[in-house]
Amino acid sequence: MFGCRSLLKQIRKRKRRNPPKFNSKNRKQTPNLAEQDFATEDGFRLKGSSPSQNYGVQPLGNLYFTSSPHNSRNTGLGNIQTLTDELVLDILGFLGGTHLGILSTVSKSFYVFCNHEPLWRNLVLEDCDDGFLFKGSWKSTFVAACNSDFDVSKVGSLGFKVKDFYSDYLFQSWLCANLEMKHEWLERDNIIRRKGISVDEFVTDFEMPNKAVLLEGCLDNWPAMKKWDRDYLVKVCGDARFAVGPIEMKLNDFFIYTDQAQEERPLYLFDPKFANKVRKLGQDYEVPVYFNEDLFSVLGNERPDYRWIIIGPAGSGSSFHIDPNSTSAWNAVVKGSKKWVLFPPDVAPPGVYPSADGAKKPVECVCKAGEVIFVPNGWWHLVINLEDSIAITQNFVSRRNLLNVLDFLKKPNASTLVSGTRDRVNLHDKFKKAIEVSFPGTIDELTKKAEKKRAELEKPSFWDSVKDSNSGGFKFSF
Amino acid sequence: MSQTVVLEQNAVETQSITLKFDGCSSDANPSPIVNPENQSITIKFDDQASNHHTIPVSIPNVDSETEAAVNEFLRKHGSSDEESVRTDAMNDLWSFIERQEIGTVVVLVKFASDVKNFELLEIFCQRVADVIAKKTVEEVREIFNIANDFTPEEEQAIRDEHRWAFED
Repeated sequence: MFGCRSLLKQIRKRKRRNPPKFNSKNRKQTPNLAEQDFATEDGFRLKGSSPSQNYGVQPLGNLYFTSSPHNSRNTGLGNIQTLTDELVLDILGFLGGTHLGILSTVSKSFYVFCNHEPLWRNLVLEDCDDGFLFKGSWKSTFVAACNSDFDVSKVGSLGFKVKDFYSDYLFQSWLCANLEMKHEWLERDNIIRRKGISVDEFVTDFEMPNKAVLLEGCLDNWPAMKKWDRDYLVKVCGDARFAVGPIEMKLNDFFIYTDQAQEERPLYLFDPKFANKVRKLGQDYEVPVYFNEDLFSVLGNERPDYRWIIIGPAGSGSSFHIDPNSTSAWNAVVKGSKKWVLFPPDVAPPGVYPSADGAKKPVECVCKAGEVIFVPNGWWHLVINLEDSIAITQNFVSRRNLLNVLDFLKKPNASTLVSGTRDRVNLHDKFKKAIEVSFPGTIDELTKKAEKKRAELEKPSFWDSVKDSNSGGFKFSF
Repeated sequence: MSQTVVLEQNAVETQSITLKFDGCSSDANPSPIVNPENQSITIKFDDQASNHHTIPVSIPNVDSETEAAVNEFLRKHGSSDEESVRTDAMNDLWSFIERQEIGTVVVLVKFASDVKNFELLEIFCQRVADVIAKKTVEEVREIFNIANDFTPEEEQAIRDEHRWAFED
């Protein structure tokens, strides 16, 4: 599918109306009408919670089965009907909320298009960088935020369904937001698990060979495991605002959103300064012993972002990526569970780059509360929260990947790739100097070891020298 | 250099495909664009250099003046890395587009999408949006040739649901 929409979002600059005033009354959104029980032959089901509004949109294929093939999508768009759904939405993406609202009354087709939730989500996230109060849908949220007099329960209450509207893109968009994940996908679990191993074993068996592993039993002493639930966190965090996508918002407001969100990729809270904002949070956990070597700490306050709290509803998560600065990471689930799919550094995951070799299988697992996963540096990974989840993650540099990190930071385009710090260009030099001060001779020692290892690998084996007639080895001569 | 390979499907019975090479080859990764109207699949070979368009592109379904204006933009925009030159090119194209019929701009949106030129796409989509934003409901229907398919009751209910938008 043509990916121009996300690109347009990056490059467009739009002027919006004045920031909205908030409606602080907590209005309940009437639940949407439940769809009929939907289960396909190959076992796809809708989620248990009532599905989001669909307005009667049908997939394009249905058009070919009707006796009178009329597509109200087209008649209602007029001269714009020649454009694809994505292009129509791209155009609508340039409009403010008021214009979208007015446009909704032009025709049934525009009504459906203008109700496309991602349009309203973008408007809310652009206008409300102070946070938002979610009102059941992004459209209602926006309307409530900008129009404190209007009775927001009216929005979406019509249950209006359009007949004869066929659109693959809009149907698929609704379907993806409401489809349940298949159990078989979740059950695939082939990661190596260990419990109670020593630090040396971890370093030798996993960190040095750069292998992923799931560790059990490391979080037993964390106060967070006993204390962290919604009420405790809301109390302890008070009015502190945390990073959620492009904005910052209070934790309680975030939970109000997660309670009601019905989308394919809900927002999640992901804040690198959580322990600065609320000291108690940092005190409720400690770094598992395996990951204690944290060399970026030599930079003190100038170190790049290194630890995050992640709070997200079912379905939230990140698509394939490699962690920044060539660091390794650990991710500990305090509450809930996460599905992980990982590919080693030399295997591009499907959909990331075109690759001749699509056959390699990834490492997969479900990481449950109390478990920690080690993500070795350079590994591609994708994570999805299977339920409301809370986790802590940290990125780190130990002696095992110190040289990799230094090499990465030295790269000519380091200033664009290096993340999590304001001082991108100098990070390499600063870090190297600081290591030499705190751990003199370490870099040299590691470099020597690495060179020795490389030389070992390059020496031809006995078989190689025998095979190669040029090296004066054995020859048949008749 | 942007080369085009055109695959044409001829007689239905044989369903064979003819490859026509429209220039010298390049080893950048092609991506096919399907055109169901003339049953052709076009693969454009795009390498880095082609983004600095020196070859004029041909734009279907627009007049020569419009095609010239778009090509002028591509030439100017691609000719320099300087912010001021690029902004000038955008402003020129923008002024030109503002004087064109909406039908032409819609054609240009499709064109920009087909050739995956994001700068052009942004300009043309923004223009269509600007045209819409200034109009009343009736005017939108008129300019895009849209029949109002709501019943009077439906229209009233939907207007009511969106009263907040009309109150501004």
